[in-house]
Amino acid sequence: MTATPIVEMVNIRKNFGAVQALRSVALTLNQGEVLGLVGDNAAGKSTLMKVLSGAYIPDAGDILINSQKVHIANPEDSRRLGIEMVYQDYALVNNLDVSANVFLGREIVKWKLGPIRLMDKKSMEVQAQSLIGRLKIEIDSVRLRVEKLSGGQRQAVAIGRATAFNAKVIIMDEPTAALSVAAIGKVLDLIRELKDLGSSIIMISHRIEDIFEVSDRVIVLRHGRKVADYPVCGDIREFRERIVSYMIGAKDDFSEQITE
Amino acid sequence: MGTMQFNSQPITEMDRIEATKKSTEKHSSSWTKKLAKILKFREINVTIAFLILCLFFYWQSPDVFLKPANLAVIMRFVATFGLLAIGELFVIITGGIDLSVGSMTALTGVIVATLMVKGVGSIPALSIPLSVIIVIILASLVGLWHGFSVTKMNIPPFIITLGTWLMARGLAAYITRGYPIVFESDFPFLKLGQGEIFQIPIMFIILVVIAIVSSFTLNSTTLGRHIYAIGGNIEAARVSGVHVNRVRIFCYITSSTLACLVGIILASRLGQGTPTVGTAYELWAIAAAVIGGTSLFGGEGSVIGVILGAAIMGVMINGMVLLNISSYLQNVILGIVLVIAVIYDTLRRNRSK
Repeated sequence: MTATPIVEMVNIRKNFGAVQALRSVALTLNQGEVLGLVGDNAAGKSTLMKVLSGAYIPDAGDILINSQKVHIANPEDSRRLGIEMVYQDYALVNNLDVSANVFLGREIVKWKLGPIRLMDKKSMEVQAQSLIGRLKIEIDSVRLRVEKLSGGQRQAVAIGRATAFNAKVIIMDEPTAALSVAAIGKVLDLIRELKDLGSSIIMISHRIEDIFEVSDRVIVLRHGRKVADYPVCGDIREFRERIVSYMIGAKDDFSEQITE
Repeated sequence: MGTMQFNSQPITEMDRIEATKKSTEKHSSSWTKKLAKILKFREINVTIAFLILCLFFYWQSPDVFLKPANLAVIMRFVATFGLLAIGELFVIITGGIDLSVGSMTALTGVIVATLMVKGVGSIPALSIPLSVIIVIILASLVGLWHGFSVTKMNIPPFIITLGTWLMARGLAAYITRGYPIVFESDFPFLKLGQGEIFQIPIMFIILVVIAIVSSFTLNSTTLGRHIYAIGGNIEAARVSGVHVNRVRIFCYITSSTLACLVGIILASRLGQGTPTVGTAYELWAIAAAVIGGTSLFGGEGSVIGVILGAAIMGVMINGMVLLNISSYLQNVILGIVLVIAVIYDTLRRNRSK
């Protein structure tokens, strides 16, 4: 497979006061690829993803989507470009049903008169039902309130929602962090399913075995710099040892690039 | 390799059949399931409580309770507190509170009476519609102020509306120097609060209209869904692209405007704009909302619920008067009902989780 980059982040820098959160980081995500993003706390993974999703504006650097330079100033810009974020806490509204959550902020409207927008609830339910059917998410009814769902089901709804609107790129922040072992398996299946359907995914995780299971490639950050970027291969023990040595600073593939 | 495009793909016939099959399975027509559905209807408890109360008071005083004149008394009560409670409902669903509505009824009633009877300074008395429009605009500006303070300045709604609670009451007394502004007894404006159509008070008809519009807004429009979403998880609503601040400001404006409507109606009903009207009405309105199943934590509540809440209070007060129960004891009993309603609702919610 020839790799076509869908997202290219070049020389991204971000400082918070005197703290250099990102020191000229480059990241490429290819079409149809699952990219694992690993690093210790404060390594810069979340900051980098917040730059991509529009929550932070970088101090320097470029972002290219399909080789076109883009300007992302806020989360709406990012969404318009087809980038969706799945938040670690799911960002679901518990007192609304599954269908309402999938379409929250993007409800299907039957007719509108000035500020009055009448919702097309039936269409939303049918489409939400077909969405969870396609992704093989096990939920009895899209009319169930989210508060009635298990943690794994909630994560599945959060991921399903991110994929429902022409998403080209899905960023997942620790999608397996708060789940039981059985639920983790289902979420990983869902990520594979999305990949088969053609999505490009960036997955932040501290669970190296999950990265190993589903990712094609892994990037390791340390102290705001990229220290490793290579395809996932070999067996899990070897993979884990290699990643850990990058995370703790024993190895560094990009040390010659340090300019400061 | 294509990107994922669920939305742009037409929904296949299979999906549609699948979805309809699922929904029909859920609502099959056998009567047990129908019964189960009725029992799931969230306002069922308040409805039953309301009906039992009506039966009880009818049994206790069969010749008075159902008389049109008595029903009109109840309807006027329900209209007053139902309208205030609907406004309160919008704010409470988003997780806020509006303590200013009682004082706002006094202030707006006084202003509307002043405009119609005396005019301001050198400006002579204004026409009825113009006076009403001016006072509604003023009230919505107060709501805008509340919404702005809560969303942009992050001031707790309890505090900012408590400020208005004091200021509006004080201003109403200051404008009138403490004396009511009295309408001529044949002033046409008085029809609004005193008139009846087919023995139904006009103010109750106004409540029904406002209730239908509010219920439609909350259940069927995107705005309504966003109001519930904000009460459920404001951060999730924000990242989902809901204009959180705009929606919350809308709710505070709705509350102030409905308080103003009640102020206008009460001025008409009493034949005067008086600065002492509506004392503690905000608490009655909140009580009606809570008895009707509204959660003060936000995210839960319905128009039909708050009207039933107001109706329960109205029927109880009316019934207790008919039964000659001491008015001191009436408050004790209403307090007990309120507490029971809240405890019951909390237990039910905890069990369902």
